[in-house]
Amino acid sequence: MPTEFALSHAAMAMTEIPEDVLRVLEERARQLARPLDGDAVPETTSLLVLQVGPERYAVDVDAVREIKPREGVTPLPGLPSFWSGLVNQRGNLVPVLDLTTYLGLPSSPEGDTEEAKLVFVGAEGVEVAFVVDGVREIRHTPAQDLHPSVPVEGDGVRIVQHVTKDLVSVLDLSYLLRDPALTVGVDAK
Amino acid sequence: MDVGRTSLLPGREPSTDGEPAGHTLVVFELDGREFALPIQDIAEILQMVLVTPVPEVPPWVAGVVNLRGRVIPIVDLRTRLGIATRPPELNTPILIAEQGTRKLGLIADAVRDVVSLEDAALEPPPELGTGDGHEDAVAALAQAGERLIVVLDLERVTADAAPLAEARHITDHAD
Repeated sequence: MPTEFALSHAAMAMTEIPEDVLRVLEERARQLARPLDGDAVPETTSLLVLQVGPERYAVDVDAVREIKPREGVTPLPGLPSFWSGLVNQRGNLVPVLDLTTYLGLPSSPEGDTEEAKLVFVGAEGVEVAFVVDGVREIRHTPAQDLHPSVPVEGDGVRIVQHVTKDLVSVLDLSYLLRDPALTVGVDAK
Repeated sequence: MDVGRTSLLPGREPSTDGEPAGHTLVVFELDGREFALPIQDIAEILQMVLVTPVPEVPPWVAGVVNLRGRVIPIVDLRTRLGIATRPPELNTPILIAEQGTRKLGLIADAVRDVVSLEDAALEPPPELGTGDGHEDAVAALAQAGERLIVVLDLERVTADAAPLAEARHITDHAD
Protein backbone atom coordinates (compact mmCIF):
# COMPACT_ATOMS: atom_id res chain seq x y z
CA MET A 1 0.00 0.00 0.00
CA PRO A 2 1.41 3.45 -0.79
CA THR A 3 2.20 5.67 2.18
CA GLU A 4 3.34 9.29 2.14
CA PHE A 5 5.53 9.07 5.21
CA ALA A 6 8.83 7.35 5.95
CA LEU A 7 8.22 3.86 7.27
CA SER A 8 9.92 2.78 10.48
CA HIS A 9 12.50 0.02 10.18
CA ALA A 10 10.09 -2.51 11.62
CA ALA A 11 7.31 -1.35 9.31
CA MET A 12 9.57 -1.83 6.29
CA ALA A 13 9.73 -5.55 7.03
CA MET A 14 5.95 -5.66 6.74
CA THR A 15 6.13 -4.49 3.14
CA GLU A 16 7.95 -7.72 2.23
CA ILE A 17 5.01 -9.93 3.20
CA PRO A 18 3.86 -11.99 0.20
CA GLU A 19 0.48 -11.04 -1.27
CA ASP A 20 -1.33 -14.26 -0.24
CA VAL A 21 -0.14 -14.00 3.36
CA LEU A 22 -1.11 -10.35 3.40
CA ARG A 23 -4.69 -11.20 2.48
CA VAL A 24 -4.99 -13.56 5.44
CA LEU A 25 -3.43 -11.01 7.78
CA GLU A 26 -5.86 -8.39 6.54
CA GLU A 27 -8.83 -10.62 7.25
CA ARG A 28 -7.50 -11.45 10.72
CA ALA A 29 -6.99 -7.74 11.44
CA ARG A 30 -10.61 -7.12 10.45
CA GLN A 31 -11.78 -9.89 12.79
CA LEU A 32 -9.63 -8.59 15.63
CA ALA A 33 -10.93 -5.05 15.22
CA ARG A 34 -14.47 -6.22 15.87
CA PRO A 35 -15.47 -5.27 19.40
CA LEU A 36 -16.77 -8.07 21.55
CA ASP A 37 -20.50 -8.52 21.22
CA GLY A 38 -22.60 -6.37 23.47
CA ASP A 39 -20.71 -4.49 26.11
CA ALA A 40 -16.96 -4.65 26.45
CA VAL A 41 -17.27 -7.43 29.00
CA PRO A 42 -18.92 -10.57 27.67
CA GLU A 43 -21.33 -12.26 30.00
CA THR A 44 -19.71 -15.41 31.26
CA THR A 45 -20.67 -18.07 33.73
CA SER A 46 -17.99 -19.51 35.97
CA LEU A 47 -18.36 -23.24 36.15
CA LEU A 48 -16.72 -25.76 38.43
CA VAL A 49 -16.19 -28.93 36.43
CA LEU A 50 -16.59 -32.16 38.43
CA GLN A 51 -15.67 -35.73 37.59
CA VAL A 52 -18.72 -37.86 38.33
CA GLY A 53 -18.09 -41.51 37.53
CA PRO A 54 -17.06 -41.56 33.89
CA GLU A 55 -18.73 -38.24 33.11
CA ARG A 56 -18.01 -34.59 33.68
CA TYR A 57 -20.64 -32.36 35.18
CA ALA A 58 -20.44 -28.70 36.13
CA VAL A 59 -22.02 -26.48 38.74
CA ASP A 60 -22.15 -22.70 38.95
CA VAL A 61 -19.16 -21.61 41.02
CA ASP A 62 -21.33 -19.09 42.86
CA ALA A 63 -23.22 -21.95 44.49
CA VAL A 64 -20.06 -23.70 45.71
CA ARG A 65 -19.29 -23.02 49.37
CA GLU A 66 -16.31 -25.28 49.97
CA ILE A 67 -14.35 -28.24 48.62
CA LYS A 68 -12.80 -30.79 50.96
CA PRO A 69 -11.29 -34.27 50.74
CA ARG A 70 -13.91 -37.00 51.01
CA GLU A 71 -13.53 -37.74 54.71
CA GLY A 72 -15.66 -37.89 57.81
CA VAL A 73 -18.88 -39.01 56.16
CA THR A 74 -21.08 -40.88 58.63
CA PRO A 75 -23.42 -43.34 56.90
CA LEU A 76 -27.05 -43.34 57.98
CA PRO A 77 -29.17 -46.46 57.69
CA GLY A 78 -32.48 -46.51 55.93
CA LEU A 79 -31.80 -43.81 53.37
CA PRO A 80 -31.96 -44.13 49.60
CA SER A 81 -28.65 -45.35 48.23
CA PHE A 82 -27.72 -41.99 46.73
CA TRP A 83 -27.38 -40.56 50.23
CA SER A 84 -23.88 -41.32 51.55
CA GLY A 85 -24.71 -40.00 55.00
CA LEU A 86 -23.92 -36.86 56.93
CA VAL A 87 -20.80 -34.81 57.41
CA ASN A 88 -20.13 -32.43 60.25
CA GLN A 89 -19.28 -29.09 58.71
CA ARG A 90 -18.22 -26.80 61.57
CA GLY A 91 -21.08 -27.93 63.76
CA ASN A 92 -23.65 -28.16 60.98
CA LEU A 93 -24.70 -31.60 59.82
CA VAL A 94 -24.75 -31.50 56.05
CA PRO A 95 -26.31 -34.33 54.03
CA VAL A 96 -23.90 -35.97 51.60
CA LEU A 97 -25.23 -36.87 48.17
CA ASP A 98 -23.40 -39.42 46.04
CA LEU A 99 -23.77 -37.72 42.65
CA THR A 100 -22.71 -40.82 40.74
CA THR A 101 -25.53 -42.91 42.19
CA TYR A 102 -28.04 -40.07 42.12
CA LEU A 103 -27.41 -39.42 38.43
CA GLY A 104 -27.59 -43.15 37.70
CA LEU A 105 -24.03 -43.37 36.43
CA PRO A 106 -21.72 -46.37 36.74
CA SER A 107 -19.26 -45.74 39.55
CA SER A 108 -15.73 -45.17 38.38
CA PRO A 109 -13.52 -48.27 38.51
CA GLU A 110 -10.81 -46.54 40.53
CA GLY A 111 -13.39 -45.88 43.21
CA ASP A 112 -11.62 -44.68 46.33
CA THR A 113 -9.02 -42.31 44.98
CA GLU A 114 -7.34 -39.41 46.65
CA GLU A 115 -9.02 -37.18 44.11
CA ALA A 116 -12.45 -37.89 45.54
CA LYS A 117 -13.89 -34.75 47.05
CA LEU A 118 -16.82 -33.36 48.96
CA VAL A 119 -18.17 -30.32 47.17
CA PHE A 120 -20.43 -28.25 49.39
CA VAL A 121 -23.08 -26.44 47.42
CA GLY A 122 -25.91 -24.25 48.57
CA ALA A 123 -29.03 -23.10 46.79
CA GLU A 124 -32.61 -22.40 47.77
CA GLY A 125 -31.59 -22.32 51.42
CA VAL A 126 -30.38 -25.91 51.32
CA GLU A 127 -26.80 -27.02 51.71
CA VAL A 128 -25.66 -30.36 50.41
CA ALA A 129 -22.25 -31.94 49.95
CA PHE A 130 -21.74 -33.79 46.68
CA VAL A 131 -19.43 -36.77 46.58
CA VAL A 132 -17.48 -36.51 43.33
CA ASP A 133 -14.55 -38.44 41.89
CA GLY A 134 -12.55 -35.31 41.27
CA VAL A 135 -12.60 -31.58 40.72
CA ARG A 136 -11.27 -30.82 37.26
CA GLU A 137 -11.22 -27.09 36.61
CA ILE A 138 -12.93 -23.75 36.87
CA ARG A 139 -13.84 -22.37 33.49
CA HIS A 140 -15.41 -19.14 32.38
CA THR A 141 -17.94 -19.95 29.72
CA PRO A 142 -19.58 -17.24 27.60
CA ALA A 143 -23.36 -17.35 27.75
CA GLN A 144 -23.66 -18.21 24.06
CA ASP A 145 -21.62 -21.40 24.60
CA LEU A 146 -24.15 -22.73 27.09
CA HIS A 147 -26.75 -24.63 25.16
CA PRO A 148 -30.09 -25.61 26.63
CA SER A 149 -30.28 -29.29 27.39
CA VAL A 150 -32.50 -31.51 25.28
CA PRO A 151 -36.12 -30.39 25.63
CA VAL A 152 -37.56 -33.76 26.64
CA GLU A 153 -40.85 -34.02 28.51
CA GLY A 154 -40.51 -35.28 32.03
CA ASP A 155 -38.58 -34.39 35.12
CA GLY A 156 -35.25 -36.12 34.79
CA VAL A 157 -33.71 -33.88 32.19
CA ARG A 158 -34.42 -30.71 34.15
CA ILE A 159 -31.51 -31.63 36.43
CA VAL A 160 -29.26 -30.66 33.57
CA GLN A 161 -29.77 -27.00 32.84
CA HIS A 162 -27.29 -26.46 30.04
CA VAL A 163 -24.70 -28.32 28.07
CA THR A 164 -21.41 -26.72 27.08
CA LYS A 165 -19.83 -27.00 23.63
CA ASP A 166 -17.66 -29.90 24.76
CA LEU A 167 -20.64 -31.68 26.29
CA VAL A 168 -20.16 -30.94 29.97
CA SER A 169 -23.61 -30.96 31.58
CA VAL A 170 -24.33 -28.04 33.88
CA LEU A 171 -26.48 -29.07 36.84
CA ASP A 172 -29.49 -26.96 37.73
CA LEU A 173 -28.92 -26.80 41.47
CA SER A 174 -32.09 -24.96 42.34
CA TYR A 175 -34.03 -27.74 40.65
CA LEU A 176 -31.85 -30.58 41.91
CA LEU A 177 -32.05 -29.51 45.55
CA ARG A 178 -35.84 -29.33 45.34
CA ASP A 179 -36.11 -32.80 43.80
CA PRO A 180 -38.87 -34.54 45.80
CA ALA A 181 -36.81 -37.73 45.78
CA LEU A 182 -34.25 -35.99 47.95
CA THR A 183 -36.54 -34.59 50.61
CA VAL A 184 -36.37 -37.79 52.62
CA GLY A 185 -32.96 -36.72 53.82
CA VAL A 186 -32.93 -32.97 53.46
CA ASP A 187 -34.54 -30.89 56.13
CA ALA A 188 -34.87 -27.59 54.41
CA LYS A 189 -35.26 -25.63 57.60
CA MET B 1 12.33 4.33 37.88
CA ASP B 2 14.20 1.80 40.01
CA VAL B 3 12.38 2.18 43.29
CA GLY B 4 14.34 -0.10 45.57
CA ARG B 5 13.85 -3.33 43.73
CA THR B 6 14.23 -6.24 46.11
CA SER B 7 13.46 -8.72 43.39
CA LEU B 8 14.92 -8.75 39.92
CA LEU B 9 11.49 -8.85 38.43
CA PRO B 10 8.77 -6.37 39.29
CA GLY B 11 5.12 -7.15 39.81
CA ARG B 12 5.56 -10.34 41.76
CA GLU B 13 3.42 -11.34 44.70
CA PRO B 14 5.59 -11.45 47.79
CA SER B 15 5.76 -14.89 49.28
CA THR B 16 4.00 -14.97 52.62
CA ASP B 17 3.65 -18.64 53.45
CA GLY B 18 7.30 -19.61 53.53
CA GLU B 19 7.22 -21.23 50.12
CA PRO B 20 10.20 -20.43 47.94
CA ALA B 21 9.54 -17.28 45.94
CA GLY B 22 9.09 -18.03 42.27
CA HIS B 23 8.44 -16.60 38.87
CA THR B 24 6.45 -17.87 35.96
CA LEU B 25 7.83 -16.81 32.62
CA VAL B 26 6.46 -16.93 29.10
CA VAL B 27 9.40 -18.04 26.97
CA PHE B 28 9.59 -17.00 23.33
CA GLU B 29 12.12 -17.26 20.57
CA LEU B 30 13.99 -14.58 18.65
CA ASP B 31 16.61 -15.61 16.13
CA GLY B 32 16.95 -19.05 17.72
CA ARG B 33 17.56 -17.64 21.19
CA GLU B 34 15.25 -17.76 24.16
CA PHE B 35 13.77 -14.66 25.74
CA ALA B 36 11.03 -14.33 28.33
CA LEU B 37 8.64 -11.99 30.08
CA PRO B 38 6.87 -12.56 33.40
CA ILE B 39 3.49 -14.12 32.77
CA GLN B 40 1.78 -11.24 34.61
CA ASP B 41 2.88 -8.98 31.76
CA ILE B 42 1.19 -11.03 29.06
CA ALA B 43 -2.57 -10.63 28.61
CA GLU B 44 -2.98 -12.85 25.57
CA ILE B 45 -1.15 -14.23 22.56
CA LEU B 46 -2.50 -13.71 19.06
CA GLN B 47 -1.61 -14.95 15.64
CA MET B 48 -0.08 -12.35 13.34
CA VAL B 49 -2.47 -9.82 11.86
CA LEU B 50 -1.93 -6.98 9.42
CA VAL B 51 -0.13 -4.11 11.15
CA THR B 52 -0.98 -0.60 9.99
CA PRO B 53 2.14 1.61 9.76
CA VAL B 54 2.04 5.01 11.45
CA PRO B 55 4.39 7.98 10.95
CA GLU B 56 6.85 9.42 13.45
CA VAL B 57 7.48 6.30 15.53
CA PRO B 58 10.68 4.70 16.83
CA PRO B 59 12.33 2.30 14.36
CA TRP B 60 11.10 -0.77 16.29
CA VAL B 61 7.44 0.16 16.23
CA ALA B 62 5.93 -1.68 13.29
CA GLY B 63 2.65 0.19 13.52
CA VAL B 64 -0.69 -0.23 15.21
CA VAL B 65 -3.41 -2.85 15.39
CA ASN B 66 -7.06 -2.44 16.27
CA LEU B 67 -7.58 -4.81 19.20
CA ARG B 68 -11.35 -5.06 19.61
CA GLY B 69 -11.91 -1.36 19.22
CA ARG B 70 -8.74 -0.25 20.92
CA VAL B 71 -5.69 0.86 18.96
CA ILE B 72 -2.45 -0.58 20.33
CA PRO B 73 1.14 -0.14 19.11
CA ILE B 74 3.05 -3.17 17.87
CA VAL B 75 6.73 -3.45 18.79
CA ASP B 76 9.02 -5.58 16.66
CA LEU B 77 11.16 -7.26 19.32
CA ARG B 78 13.83 -8.22 16.79
CA THR B 79 14.47 -4.59 15.83
CA ARG B 80 14.13 -3.47 19.44
CA LEU B 81 16.85 -5.91 20.54
CA GLY B 82 19.16 -5.25 17.64
CA ILE B 83 18.44 -8.45 15.76
CA ALA B 84 17.95 -8.23 11.99
CA THR B 85 14.22 -8.08 11.37
CA ARG B 86 12.31 -10.23 8.93
CA PRO B 87 8.82 -10.18 7.48
CA PRO B 88 6.30 -11.93 9.76
CA GLU B 89 4.66 -15.18 8.68
CA LEU B 90 1.15 -16.48 9.19
CA ASN B 91 2.00 -18.26 12.43
CA THR B 92 4.17 -15.50 13.87
CA PRO B 93 2.82 -14.68 17.34
CA ILE B 94 1.94 -11.28 18.74
CA LEU B 95 2.20 -11.22 22.52
CA ILE B 96 -0.24 -8.71 23.93
CA ALA B 97 1.48 -7.15 26.93
CA GLU B 98 -0.29 -5.22 29.63
CA GLN B 99 1.15 -2.43 31.79
CA GLY B 100 -1.52 -0.95 33.96
CA THR B 101 -4.10 0.41 31.55
CA ARG B 102 -1.67 0.29 28.62
CA LYS B 103 -1.61 -2.51 26.15
CA LEU B 104 0.80 -3.18 23.35
CA GLY B 105 1.77 -5.99 21.04
CA LEU B 106 5.19 -7.60 20.80
CA ILE B 107 6.21 -9.54 17.71
CA ALA B 108 8.36 -12.59 18.47
CA ASP B 109 9.46 -15.45 16.20
CA ALA B 110 7.64 -18.14 18.18
CA VAL B 111 6.30 -18.86 21.64
CA ARG B 112 8.18 -21.74 23.26
CA ASP B 113 6.64 -22.54 26.63
CA VAL B 114 5.87 -21.32 30.12
CA VAL B 115 8.43 -22.08 32.83
CA SER B 116 8.27 -21.71 36.59
CA LEU B 117 11.53 -20.81 38.29
CA GLU B 118 12.63 -20.07 41.81
CA ASP B 119 14.12 -16.72 42.64
CA ALA B 120 17.56 -18.28 42.88
CA ALA B 121 17.47 -19.23 39.19
CA LEU B 122 17.52 -15.57 38.22
CA GLU B 123 20.69 -13.55 38.01
CA PRO B 124 21.12 -9.86 37.30
CA PRO B 125 22.36 -9.14 33.78
CA PRO B 126 26.13 -8.78 33.54
CA GLU B 127 27.26 -5.20 33.09
CA LEU B 128 28.90 -5.70 29.76
CA GLY B 129 28.34 -2.19 28.56
CA THR B 130 28.14 -3.16 24.92
CA GLY B 131 26.99 0.34 24.19
CA ASP B 132 24.61 -0.72 21.47
CA GLY B 133 21.64 0.58 23.43
CA HIS B 134 19.92 -2.76 23.70
CA GLU B 135 21.30 -4.13 26.98
CA ASP B 136 19.01 -1.93 29.07
CA ALA B 137 16.06 -4.06 28.05
CA VAL B 138 17.29 -7.07 30.03
CA ALA B 139 15.89 -7.54 33.53
CA ALA B 140 17.61 -10.79 34.42
CA LEU B 141 19.14 -13.99 33.14
CA ALA B 142 17.25 -17.14 34.05
CA GLN B 143 18.70 -20.62 34.28
CA ALA B 144 16.21 -23.38 33.59
CA GLY B 145 18.15 -26.62 33.52
CA GLU B 146 20.41 -26.41 30.50
CA ARG B 147 18.64 -23.36 29.15
CA LEU B 148 19.72 -19.80 29.61
CA ILE B 149 16.80 -17.45 29.12
CA VAL B 150 17.07 -13.70 28.77
CA VAL B 151 14.28 -12.12 30.81
CA LEU B 152 13.22 -8.76 29.42
CA ASP B 153 12.03 -5.73 31.34
CA LEU B 154 8.74 -4.87 29.69
CA GLU B 155 8.72 -1.30 30.88
CA ARG B 156 12.12 -0.58 29.38
CA VAL B 157 11.54 -2.55 26.19
CA THR B 158 8.44 -0.55 25.46
CA ALA B 159 9.29 2.84 26.99
CA ASP B 160 9.48 4.56 23.62
CA ALA B 161 6.17 3.16 22.51
CA ALA B 162 4.46 4.34 25.69
CA PRO B 163 2.89 7.50 24.27
CA LEU B 164 1.22 5.34 21.63
CA ALA B 165 0.01 2.83 24.16
CA GLU B 166 -2.11 5.12 26.31
CA ALA B 167 -5.64 3.84 26.40
CA ARG B 168 -7.23 5.03 23.20
CA HIS B 169 -10.54 3.77 22.05
CA ILE B 170 -12.13 4.08 18.68
CA THR B 171 -15.51 5.55 19.44
CA ASP B 172 -16.88 5.52 15.94
CA HIS B 173 -16.41 1.98 14.80
CA ALA B 174 -17.03 1.85 11.07
CA ASP B 175 -18.19 -1.57 9.94
